[in-house]
Amino acid sequence: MIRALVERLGSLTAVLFGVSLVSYGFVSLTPGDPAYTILRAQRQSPPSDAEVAAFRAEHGLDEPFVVQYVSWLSEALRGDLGTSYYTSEPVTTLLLESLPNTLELAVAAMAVSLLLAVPTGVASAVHRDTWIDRTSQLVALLGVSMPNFWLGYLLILVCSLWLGLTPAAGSGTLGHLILPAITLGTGLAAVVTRLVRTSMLEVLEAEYVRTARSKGVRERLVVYKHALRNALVPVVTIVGLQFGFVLNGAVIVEVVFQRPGLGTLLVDAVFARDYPIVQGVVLVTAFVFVVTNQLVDLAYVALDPRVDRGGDRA
Amino acid sequence: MGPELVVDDLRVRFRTRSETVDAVDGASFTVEPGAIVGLVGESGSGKSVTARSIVRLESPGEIVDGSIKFDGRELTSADDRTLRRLRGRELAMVFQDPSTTLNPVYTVGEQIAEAIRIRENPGRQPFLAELAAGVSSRLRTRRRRSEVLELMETVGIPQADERIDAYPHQFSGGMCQRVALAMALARRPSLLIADEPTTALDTTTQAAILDRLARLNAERGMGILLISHDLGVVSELCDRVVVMYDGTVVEYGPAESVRSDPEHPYTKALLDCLPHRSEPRSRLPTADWPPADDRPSRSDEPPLQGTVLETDRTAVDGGTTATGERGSPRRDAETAAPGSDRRVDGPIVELEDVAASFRQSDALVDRLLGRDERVPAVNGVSLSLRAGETVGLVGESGCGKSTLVRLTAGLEETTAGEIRLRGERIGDADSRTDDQLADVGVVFQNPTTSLNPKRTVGQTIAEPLFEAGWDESRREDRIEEVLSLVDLPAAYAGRYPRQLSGGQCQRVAIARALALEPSVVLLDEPTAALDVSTQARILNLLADLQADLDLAYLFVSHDLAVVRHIADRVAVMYLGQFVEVGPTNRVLSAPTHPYTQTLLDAIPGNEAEECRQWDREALAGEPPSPTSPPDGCAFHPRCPVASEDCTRVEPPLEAVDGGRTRCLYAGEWRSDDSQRSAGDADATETQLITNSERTEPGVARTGRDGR
Repeated sequence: MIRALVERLGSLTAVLFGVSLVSYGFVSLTPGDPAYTILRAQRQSPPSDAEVAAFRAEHGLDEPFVVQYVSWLSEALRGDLGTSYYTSEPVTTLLLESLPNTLELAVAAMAVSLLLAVPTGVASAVHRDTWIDRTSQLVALLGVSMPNFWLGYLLILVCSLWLGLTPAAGSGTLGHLILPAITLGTGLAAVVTRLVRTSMLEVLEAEYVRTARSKGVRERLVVYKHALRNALVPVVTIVGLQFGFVLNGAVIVEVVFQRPGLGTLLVDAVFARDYPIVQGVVLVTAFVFVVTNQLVDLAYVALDPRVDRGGDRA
Repeated sequence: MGPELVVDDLRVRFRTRSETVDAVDGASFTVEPGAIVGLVGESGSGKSVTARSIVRLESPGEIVDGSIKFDGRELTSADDRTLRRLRGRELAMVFQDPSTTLNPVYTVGEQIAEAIRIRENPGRQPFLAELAAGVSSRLRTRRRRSEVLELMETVGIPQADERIDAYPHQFSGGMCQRVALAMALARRPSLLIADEPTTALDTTTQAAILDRLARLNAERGMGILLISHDLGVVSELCDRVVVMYDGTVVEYGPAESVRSDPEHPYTKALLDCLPHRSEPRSRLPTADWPPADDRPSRSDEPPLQGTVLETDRTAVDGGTTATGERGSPRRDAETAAPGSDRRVDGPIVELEDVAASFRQSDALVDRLLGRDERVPAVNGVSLSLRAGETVGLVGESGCGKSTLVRLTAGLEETTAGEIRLRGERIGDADSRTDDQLADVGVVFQNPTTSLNPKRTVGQTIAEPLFEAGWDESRREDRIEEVLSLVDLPAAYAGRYPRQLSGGQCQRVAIARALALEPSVVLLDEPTAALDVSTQARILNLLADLQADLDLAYLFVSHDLAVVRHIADRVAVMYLGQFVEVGPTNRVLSAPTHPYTQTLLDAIPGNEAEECRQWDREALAGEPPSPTSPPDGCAFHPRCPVASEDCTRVEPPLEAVDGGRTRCLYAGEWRSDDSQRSAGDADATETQLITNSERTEPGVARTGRDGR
């Protein structure tokens, strides 16, 4: 167990190091001088060359790439991800403020998608080639095809403006969470529904399902006890990978619903060329993604006893 | 006595997009209370569909006509509730492949306990409670636990207490089948329907399971419907036998009379093509009844040019006897075929002290940390193979016989010892020259999976030719040539494997192995996945090819009857080592190693005099784990004649009676055994004295310690 934990921590560190290097590199390669852009925005007038040079010296932007990266990395290892070029607030603080909001949205969206997708997928598979199956397939197709920002605006229009059921923007209450979670969850639900359906169809053909029926097990238990747990194994993998999709989607959905969060923070920072923040958000996102997938591996072990326990024959 | 099962004129239809097939076409038979009835037939005969229809699991087929009455109740029109009740309490079914019929995500204890719960109250089955029952990996209630343990002991699962919370993948095939049996018994059924319950198992395990079934029948008066393709299995156990062919019952009667005096020509043909009823190395009759042009052929091989019925089967094909050897002009022209000109006198393939082991873990971390444990698969094996000779390699699954084939083929690397081809040392396939690669052909067990489904027969056969650099016209000629060698029409080159039957696929696999004119062909269970009549044809074909092309065969099989039929010499393998090597007729009639005797005893329906009535249950114990082999003789934990010495001294492979045997009491136990079974304690003593006078084991021991 301890060994497994050490191995996982090792791989986590390696991934984060790679992510930081690549993202730092790409940010440095983007055209446009942050010093100029930022000073201009602060002063509302073009800064002088001396001012730009002073800003660059202050933030270490005049150093070669490697030196910049190494000093950033050594600070980062001590938990200091630098300060915003604009507000001089520590990046770490900014991240800690927005991360919970985004995680809340992401988890809610995942929950929405699973609650929609698993029963629909199962029903689709059990009633294969009937109207139930066709309808759910059609809805799933719509869900995959619809861009989520568009769905977001549509939901605001209908639920908030016409029906007045939920607040249109902001965050804090459960009411604020519902629409963004649905917006973000449906796209994922569509993918997962199809996956659950395919996986269930395969499992329902399995011989152990026939064995369960031959025992006299009720059909509902055959489906939900004997088949579903087996069918979920491949689904869990994809759901873990789709968590990246959710974090991506959060960027757009947060902007649409004007929710504070990593997405809003990132978008603002990108436009303002506030590199330390961009860097920080990318790093945190990667961290969340890797950790999620480690959790998925654990879920795997819980679902399927054959995983990771190969050696011990009874 | 329990209720009776009456199947009357049952018809089951399968509809696919392109066609409808009557898989069962009017089957009628009765299973009397407490009787054991065998349902026999080859694949496609409709026997499994019939069996499944009885518990109404015929889907995707549908019952279109006829009736199934159990205890006076009509099952074809029963509603779901009644069916669940019947399945939960009266009619239990055990399926073929234990590795796929148990749910992999629940413990065996839970799967058995579920059956008990259903039997107690088939109507209830609370949804949430049942879901929750599966989540825990331990059976909680003590009462349930003891019930499950009792069932596990009834079916012969040792250390049930440790295994109750284990998952199916932690069990061997035989143990999984016992779990399935326990699940069936948990319902205290009055009729057990067993669909090929032992086909996927080793013969020793098969013997133990069949014994267990017979005992359950005798003790509980539980009726059994045993479905099998193997007449040997059925005739050993059953009171009555139903023979099915093409969806209909062709013969139905007491087992003894069906076996000794079959009325129907198909039954007779089926019995005749069993290798253990034939003279070794003779031609096997093949069952093609009725002549396939009589009715649309469905699953059996359609007749091919050149495959006319081969023996006196006048009764069967109604006068159109086509006698004769296949010494047709075509074949005579090919006797001077390639291969014979390369003949050498010495052995073609020699294995010397070959060993191979596998890594237990592929993890990089393990390797870096030096925790690179290796499991030995083959250990110190020596063997030579001459032109025109067949060596049979037998043993239970996991004994290393397939690994030995893969080593010889160069698909695995040896970790010690050497393999020589025509006197030259060869390594794995990458390091072999084109000629060396061409010299060894391989045929694998399952023809439907060893052929690429996306390639035509021609492309499959051309592959080795292409690799060897043959140009296109030569390739075309050769494809036609090898197809005719294996008795397939040249037109088959354009077909895909899915358009062929299992036997035809295996012919293609043989053709591919022969494409580069090898002098050695390695055959890894080439007939294990085939029906008996198809097996007979393939065995005949292999014999013809060997006679014509002077091939050397290394023939791996778990089926001693097949090996007895085809092999000149036989090597018996146990836990990676040869335990007995020698001429087939001697080894298989007067074995000098108790393990060989065990294998012989396990042949179903073997009533020959060499059969000893050792306790099959003990013999069917699992082979020990190769990671921690037992001290002394590897076989001693299962050996009925083992003495204390056997637990300490590792016997060497020494010359006995025309062969070599790895047993301290090689040959002696045959006579000792009778004394022992008489309960004479002196016999043991005598043995020990005899043993202490022997020097070799001592030498072997020192040798081992000195390492």
